[in-house]
Amino acid sequence: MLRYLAILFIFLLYLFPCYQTHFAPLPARWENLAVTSQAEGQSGDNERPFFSANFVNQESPGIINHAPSMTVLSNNRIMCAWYAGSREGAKDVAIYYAVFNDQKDHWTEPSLLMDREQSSKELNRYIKKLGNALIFSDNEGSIWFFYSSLPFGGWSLSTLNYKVSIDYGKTWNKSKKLILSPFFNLTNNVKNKGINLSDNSFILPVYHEFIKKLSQLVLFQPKDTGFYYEIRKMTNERKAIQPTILHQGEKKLVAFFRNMIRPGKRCILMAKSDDLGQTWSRTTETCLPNPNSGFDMVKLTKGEYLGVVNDSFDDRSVLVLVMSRDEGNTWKTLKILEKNAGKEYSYPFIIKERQFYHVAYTFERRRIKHIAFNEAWINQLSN
Amino acid sequence: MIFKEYFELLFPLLSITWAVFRIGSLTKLLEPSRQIDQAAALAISGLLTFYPFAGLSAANYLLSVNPNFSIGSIALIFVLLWEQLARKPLLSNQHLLEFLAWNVAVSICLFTCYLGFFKYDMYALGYGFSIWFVITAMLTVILFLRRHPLSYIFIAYIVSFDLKLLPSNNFFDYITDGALFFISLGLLLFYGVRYYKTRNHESGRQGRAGEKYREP
Repeated sequence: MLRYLAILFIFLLYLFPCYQTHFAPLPARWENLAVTSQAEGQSGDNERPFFSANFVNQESPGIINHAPSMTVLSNNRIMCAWYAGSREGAKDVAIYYAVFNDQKDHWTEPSLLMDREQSSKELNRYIKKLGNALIFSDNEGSIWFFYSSLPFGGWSLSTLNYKVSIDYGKTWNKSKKLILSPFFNLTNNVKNKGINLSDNSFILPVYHEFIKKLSQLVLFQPKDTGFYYEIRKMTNERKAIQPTILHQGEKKLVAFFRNMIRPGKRCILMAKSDDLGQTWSRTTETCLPNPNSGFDMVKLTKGEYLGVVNDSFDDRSVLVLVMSRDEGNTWKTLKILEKNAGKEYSYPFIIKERQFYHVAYTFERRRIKHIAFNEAWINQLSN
Repeated sequence: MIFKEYFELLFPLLSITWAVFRIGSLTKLLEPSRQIDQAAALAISGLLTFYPFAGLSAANYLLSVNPNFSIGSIALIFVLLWEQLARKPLLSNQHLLEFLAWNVAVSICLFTCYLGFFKYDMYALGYGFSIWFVITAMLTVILFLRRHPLSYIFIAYIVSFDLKLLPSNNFFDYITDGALFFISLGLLLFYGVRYYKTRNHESGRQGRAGEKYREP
C-alpha cells in the first residue's frame, strides 16, 4: 500500500510542472502571446523633412567607444549606452550612458552605468571583463539593462546579466545573472533590441559563439514572484549571429543576421517565423553585403524595412541607410551615412521615438555618433 | 529567494569539504574516523568556502565558473563526501557507475543539442512539461519499483524543480551541468582504467598459477 502511495506521490510531483505549463495563469504560454500593436505613429506625409547629426560623447585620447544601444525614456528623452575602455576586452572597459533631450537637442555628459568592480560586487562573482550592453524599454516603461561579462577567456565565453530600472534610469536594482545554457552557462551575448509582446512580455535576440556560432531568442515574462524567462534556438546551420528582429503581424517575425561564414562575398542572412519565434525557417541570403559586421533594422509606418548596414563585403568603412518595400527580399540604398577608406563605422542601433528615428553607431571607434530623422526625410530620399 | 541564494552555496561547501577530507586523508594529517578531526575538517571547510579572499569567497569563485550546479552535482559530491565521512559508501560501486553513466549520457545528449551539433532543441523542452518529463517520470517509477537507490536522486530532481531551488527555470539544469559531466566522465575513466588494470593483473595471476599447475 505504502509503495503505491509513493508511486502516486512521484506522479504528482511530475504533474505539477504539467499544471504549471498548461493551466497556471502566469507565465502565459508562448503560443498565447502576440506582438502588441506598436505605436507606428504618423506616416510623415504631412511633415517637413528633418535630419540632424551630432555626437553622443567627446573623443578621449587612447579610449575606444563601441557598441551603442538606445531606448526611449519619458518626456521625449532617449538613453544611449555603450562600452568604452583602452581596448576591446580590456579590464578597464566600462559601460557608460548619456541622455538626449530632443527639445534641448543635446546629450548629457556620459556617466558610468557599470564597471567590472561594480558588477563583481553586485553579482558576487569574479568578473574579468565587460562587453556589449543593451538597454530596452518594456510595455510598462521599465528600462532593462542587459550586459555581457566574462569570468575568463574571450567573447565566446560571455554570459549575460541584467538590471531593471522603474524610474527611467535614475536608480537600478542589483545585477542578476541569466542562466541560458546548460553548459557552464556558456555563452550568450546581446547586440540588438527586443520586441514587446502582450502581457508585458518581450522577446530578446541573443547569440552564441562557443564552438558554433548561432542565434537564440529569449522570452521574458512577468510572474507572481519576479519574472520568468526561457530560451529557444533560432538558427543552427550557418554562422548567423546578432539577429535583428522585425514583426510582420501579431505572430510573424523576420530576422536578419550578421554572417560569420569564412571571408568572401558574404551577405546578410534572413529567417522567418510564423509562431512568434518558437520555430524558425532555414536561413537564406539576402542581397545585402555583410563584412562580418553588426547592423540594425526597424519597421517604418507603412511596413517598409529600414536598415543601417555596412555596404561592403570587406570592411566597415561604408555605412548606409537601406530600405526594403517587399519584406526584405530586395533592398535599395537610400543614403551613404559614412564613407572613409580605412576607418570604421559600425554597430549601428536604430529606434523610433514618436515621429523620429534615431540611429547611434560607432564612429571610428573613438566616439558614438547620433543621427535623427523623420519619415518625410526618408520619403524624400526614396522617391 | 533568500533560501535560493543559500542553496546555491551547497555544492561549493560540499565539494570543498570533500577536498579537505581527501587531502587530509592522503597526507595523513587527518584521521577521518576521529570526531575531533572531523570537526576540525568541517570548520576548515566552512572557513575556506565562505571566507572572502580578495573580496570573494571560494564559493563565489566556484559559482563564477559554473553559476548553476545541478541537483545531480550535489548528489554526486554528497555520495563522495559520505564515503569520506562515514568510511563506507552510500552507493555500491555498480550503482555509482550507473549514476555516472547516466550523467554522462544525458549530458552528451543535452550539450550536443544545445551547442548546435543537432537541430533538435532539447534544452527548450526543459522549460515546460514535455516528453522528457514523462521519460524521467517513468525512469523514476521503474527505479523505485526495483528499489534502486538512484530513484531517490531522480525524486530529488523533480522535488527541487517543483520548489525552484536553483536559479534556472529549466528542468535539465536540475539534472546535469558542465561540471557534473566532466566529474562523471573523469570518474568513469578512472574506474575504467582501474577495472582494466585489475582484470589484467588477475588474469596474469591466473595465467601464472596455471603455468605453475602445469609445470610438475
